Amino acid sequence: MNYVPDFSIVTDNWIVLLRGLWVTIQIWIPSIVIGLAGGFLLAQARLARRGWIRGTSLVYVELFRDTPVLIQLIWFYYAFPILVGVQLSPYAAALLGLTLNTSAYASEIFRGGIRSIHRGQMEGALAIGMSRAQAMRRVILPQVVKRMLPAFTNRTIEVAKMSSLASVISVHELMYQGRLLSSTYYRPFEILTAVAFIYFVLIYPGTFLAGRLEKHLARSN
Amino acid sequence: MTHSALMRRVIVPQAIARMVPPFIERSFELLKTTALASTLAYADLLYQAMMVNSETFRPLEVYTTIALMYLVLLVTASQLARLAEARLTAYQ
Repeated sequence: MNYVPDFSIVTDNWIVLLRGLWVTIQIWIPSIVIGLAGGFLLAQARLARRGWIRGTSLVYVELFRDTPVLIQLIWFYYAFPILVGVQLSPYAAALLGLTLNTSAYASEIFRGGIRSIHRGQMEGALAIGMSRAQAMRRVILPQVVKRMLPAFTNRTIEVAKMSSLASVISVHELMYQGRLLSSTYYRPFEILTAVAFIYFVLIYPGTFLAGRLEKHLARSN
Repeated sequence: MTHSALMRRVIVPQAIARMVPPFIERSFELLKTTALASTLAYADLLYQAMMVNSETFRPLEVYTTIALMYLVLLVTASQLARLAEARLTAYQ
């Protein structure tokens, strides 16, 4: 091993990586926020009384859970525009793919959470004159949200990692900038190590908090 | 019983039955993750699809087909897993 690592290549180009990180955050935060909202609606559809609504949402969820995310992103970038006749920017395709994917996973978390609350509580709330929406908002959700927090934190972490796949459809996020720098300077070791380190720094606080939260919630139950 | 006998005869047999579903879940995740090998130009399903696409210029058909291939593979596998899980936990 005669290779001498030279990390000045990273510090010289930190602004490029920082710009990449900013784009990563711009994919990450919207897709988790919109994905969670979509997941909540999907979970309602999964628990609907009409069979065809339940069926449609089941097919949607399985489609997104049983195919690789990378293929979903590539499909939304290359195939979806042919179907709708509008060319999407790489960013729009990545955001669309990741948001829909997140909503499928989030709906499973919501569904599990809502089902874990005893049916008697919904019946009781209806019996004292609340509407279904009121019962959901005042009785079921406050309990569910607490139980689901660890699962949501995990999903948030997963989405942060998945966002690196957007580099494949040339979204200029952190991984893309890292690959670009490493092919420009022929220094993959330093640059890709630095990129991995940035992802770690971005995600580790989340994992740490999730662990603490889980312990805290376990005690308060 | 010694510690190892305790593990072998009491703990592990029960633990395995409980660990099988998460292990199977992990293996499905891994199956989906294999698609990433294509980014290193490894000739997996997705990479082949990209090759076919670059010759035919039919992304809609090509990518929809391989997405369905993964879907069929995973749905079949998860149905089998469900059967296996039912068998494994039948004693409970």
